Amino acid sequence: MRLLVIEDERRVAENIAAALQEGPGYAVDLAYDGEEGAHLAQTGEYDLIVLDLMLPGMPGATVLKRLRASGRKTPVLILTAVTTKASIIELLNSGADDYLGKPFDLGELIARAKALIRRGQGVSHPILRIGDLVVDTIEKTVVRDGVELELSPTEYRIMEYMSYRPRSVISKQTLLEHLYDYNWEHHSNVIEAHVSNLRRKLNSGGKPQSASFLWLETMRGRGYRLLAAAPAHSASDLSLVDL
Amino acid sequence: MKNWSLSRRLIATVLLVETLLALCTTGMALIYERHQHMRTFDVMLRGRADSLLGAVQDAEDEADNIMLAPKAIDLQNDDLYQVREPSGRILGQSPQWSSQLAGQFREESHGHNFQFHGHAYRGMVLRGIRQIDQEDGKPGISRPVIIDYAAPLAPVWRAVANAAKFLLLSNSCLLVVTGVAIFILLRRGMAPLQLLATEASAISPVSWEFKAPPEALAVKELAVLARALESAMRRLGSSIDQQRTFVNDAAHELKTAVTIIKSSLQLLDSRPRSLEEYRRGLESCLSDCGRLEELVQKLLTLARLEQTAGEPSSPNQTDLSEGVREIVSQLDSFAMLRGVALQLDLREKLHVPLPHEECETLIFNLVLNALQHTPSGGKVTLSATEENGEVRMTVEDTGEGIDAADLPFVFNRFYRGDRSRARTTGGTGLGLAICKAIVDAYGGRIELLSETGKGTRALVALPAVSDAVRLQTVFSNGR
Repeated sequence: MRLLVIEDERRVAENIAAALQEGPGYAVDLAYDGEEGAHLAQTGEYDLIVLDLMLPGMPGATVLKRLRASGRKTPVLILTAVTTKASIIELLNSGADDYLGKPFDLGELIARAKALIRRGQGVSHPILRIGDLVVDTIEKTVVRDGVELELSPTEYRIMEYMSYRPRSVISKQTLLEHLYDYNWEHHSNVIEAHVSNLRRKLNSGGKPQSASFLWLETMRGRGYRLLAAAPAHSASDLSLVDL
Repeated sequence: MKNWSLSRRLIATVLLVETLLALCTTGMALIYERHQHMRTFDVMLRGRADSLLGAVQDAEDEADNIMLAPKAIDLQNDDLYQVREPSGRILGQSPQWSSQLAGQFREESHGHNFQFHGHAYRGMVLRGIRQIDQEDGKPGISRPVIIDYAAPLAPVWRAVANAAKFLLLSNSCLLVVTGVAIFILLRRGMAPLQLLATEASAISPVSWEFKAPPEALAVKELAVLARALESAMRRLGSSIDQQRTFVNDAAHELKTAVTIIKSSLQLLDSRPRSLEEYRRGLESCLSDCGRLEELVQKLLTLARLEQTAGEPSSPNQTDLSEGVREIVSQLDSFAMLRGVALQLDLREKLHVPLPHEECETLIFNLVLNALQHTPSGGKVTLSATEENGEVRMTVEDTGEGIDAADLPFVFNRFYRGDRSRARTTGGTGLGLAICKAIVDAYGGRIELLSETGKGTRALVALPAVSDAVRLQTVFSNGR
């Protein structure tokens, strides 16, 4: 998951970013003023935007309105020092998904961020199930047949991202955009290596014929998809890389 | 205090005055009425006496005896009369005539009143000539005759009493009509005042909106009050709004400062860390606390200065040149660290009516501001002199200057030309606001001139304390 934090107070912004990176392991981009924030929000692929209201350059409310006017559905969590009913109603009505009053609690911020991301992915339960695979987005664990898989942080992030979208094709580019912040040097072969490792760990000991077999398909030139049962199409269409 | 009604008092006063006036005019009218009646009465008396004289002429017989037959004459029955000759011979009398009456008649130009048998009478004495006719065309003999004639006054008094009744009745009617008219008029006149009061009672700490009703503005006497109220409310409202903005801004700043500390500590606590990480985290939190403390300190300073602003100037006085030297020695190392030259151009003994602390805060904030906004290799010049009874201080820097768009707002609280830079220099956005508050509180002026890229010049003018006043203060303090 990749998040954008727009907050002019550098110390606050850095603390939020650190908490989101260390806790749920999200990739976080930072913007310190309204103009930059609005630009990033409209051009980048984010799963959540954390937006401060009092911003130099452009007020947070305007950033929000621009984002919604451009048709983006990215969930937005507002940080505000003014928590009067009228201002909250105004914010929610102009397209905000949730708000936190300053001074906020980092734990609460993370919990709300997780909830908003879930909703943004169209899921309400924090525990995702694909076949007999259980992905706990709170504990950051992946359990298969009662056995917890030992995944690296990046592998877990790929797993989580793909678990939100079983059966859909996810391109390498999308994975890159949603797993790394803009400081990262993009190398698609990094993704390939991680996916390969992930696939190996997922099905260690399992057989393609067994009912609980998990397919992490590579669709050449298009990306990956996660399936709980054998794909229905012909073998020529897909290439199952070494299991 | 017991409250009283203006309209009731007004009505009572008007009615009282009107009653007194009515009594006076009624009295005068009655006196005049009586006088007129008496004159008419006199004319009537004379007429009757004349007709009596005529009767006397006719009533004689050969023996020169006059027989007055009252029934034969057309006179009122209750009139009193007597016809006599100067010699005292009585020629005739009215039936009721009594000898007691003889003394009551006096010869005057007008009639006179007397009492007879318990009744009021007015009488007069008429002298006439009685012609005793001679027969055969000889001239007659003239004989003087005196007629005492009196008639009862009762009809006069009745008429006067009737007039009095009429006057009293009409005046009472007038009083009632006046009272009612004033009451209605006052009620109508007071209606705009009521509207004004209703409007004014709608003022609350939440809403300082006050719009005088047009009815009140249409009344000349009320318009003054209504306008005064309007402008007072406007001023109060804007001052409350300023306060509210200040409180909101202050709350935002404090919340931000607390947010930084809270989030830093929570982040530090979110998972086990190395000793070094904890140490660095605590250090940064401590410095954040310092910033919060400074913010609170400055807010308190501002609040205190605002209270001072209304009070008469204190007997405090400080030598500005000494203050400048003090601050410069404090900031010298900071200037060296930043690579900025700090120059002084001072005149000695510049006494200003500021407490020592305020004076130093003013200089400190201005110099620090100049130093923070001047890049390495730049120069900050401090000069102070006395001119036309004013102490003038200038702080000039060769820094980046202030944007023309920002210049009008630099004295506003929490205003930062460039927020991110101000943060890194630890600015609270209150320094210049405090300078302005100090200068305002002690009757001075402050001005900022700036050219982007060239530098900024801060000008402060404060009233100078004259030598005479200073010596006096020193003397009284010495005692």
